Amino acid sequence: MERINDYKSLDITEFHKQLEKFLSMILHYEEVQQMARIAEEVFCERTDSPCES
Amino acid sequence: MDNFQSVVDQLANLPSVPVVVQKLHMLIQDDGVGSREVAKIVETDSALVARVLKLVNSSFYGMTQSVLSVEEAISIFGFNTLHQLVLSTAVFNTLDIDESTLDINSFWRHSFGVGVFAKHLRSSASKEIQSEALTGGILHDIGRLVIAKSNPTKFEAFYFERKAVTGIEQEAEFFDHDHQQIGEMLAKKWNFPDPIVAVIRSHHTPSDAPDEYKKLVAAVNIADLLCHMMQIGYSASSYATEFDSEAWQCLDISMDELKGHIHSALNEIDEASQILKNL
Repeated sequence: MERINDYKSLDITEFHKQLEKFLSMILHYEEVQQMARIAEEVFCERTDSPCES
Repeated sequence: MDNFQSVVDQLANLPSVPVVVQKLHMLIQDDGVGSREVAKIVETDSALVARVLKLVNSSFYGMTQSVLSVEEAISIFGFNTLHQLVLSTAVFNTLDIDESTLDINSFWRHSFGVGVFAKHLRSSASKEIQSEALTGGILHDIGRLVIAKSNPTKFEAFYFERKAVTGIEQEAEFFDHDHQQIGEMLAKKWNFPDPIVAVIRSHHTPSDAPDEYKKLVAAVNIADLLCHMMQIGYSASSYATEFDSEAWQCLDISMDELKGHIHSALNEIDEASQILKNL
């Protein structure tokens, strides 16, 4: 069973991997791509992780 | 519908309505009822009172001063919000799931996360609507809990042993009905308020929601997606199989605003982590 309890327990690589896996079926929507970018930005800001953009 | 009913009856073991929830529902129908009478009913269950007050005093409801009694909670939030609070806490108590079937702490973290995100997505609406969004988010996946409680073997077979994408269509094929429909049955049996029933019934298919609840259901639909994106808790679903652009548009929120909502919601979720563990 796959359990992720808290985004803070992930590093950016794992966060990104999980995000892409979760969104794989709907990433063709432009809005979803924008939301995913925002989610990564928020993750980076809250965990002091290096953000690519 | 008869067939539908019989399938759900077989599934359940559907938990019976707790007495306090039943009495509260009947009392709230009466326009002339006073807050003392309602408080007296709730106070017959001390564990429930403790949980309701814990929730009311959490950051979810933004109180700056402690609320010390059920009567005070009613005077501040009104009957409808109290009813929703009691329903949420009663569900926690009644649908206790074996830890080996589902990591319930992680599941509730996701459920609360969706509630908090939905509340923030409706932050321009009235307090009552925000409260509906919070409750709707908390309770949106109760159908999954019903399945986990009534048929843990099948639950594990579907959610944890299958490698394929597990959307609601596959769920409906496997269990005869998806978790939205099963959740709706419990919600109706327990006399949940109509907006909450609409959320449970349509959170994956927001375009099916009645017009008056479309924004509410849309908020929970998008909140669910955001919660998965931010990887808050776990709801036995690892894949997003749908995105409803109409639901997103109906919320009328810009991407810049969305970022602010995500930060605010995460602040609340992080602050409330103790409550999520101990509720």
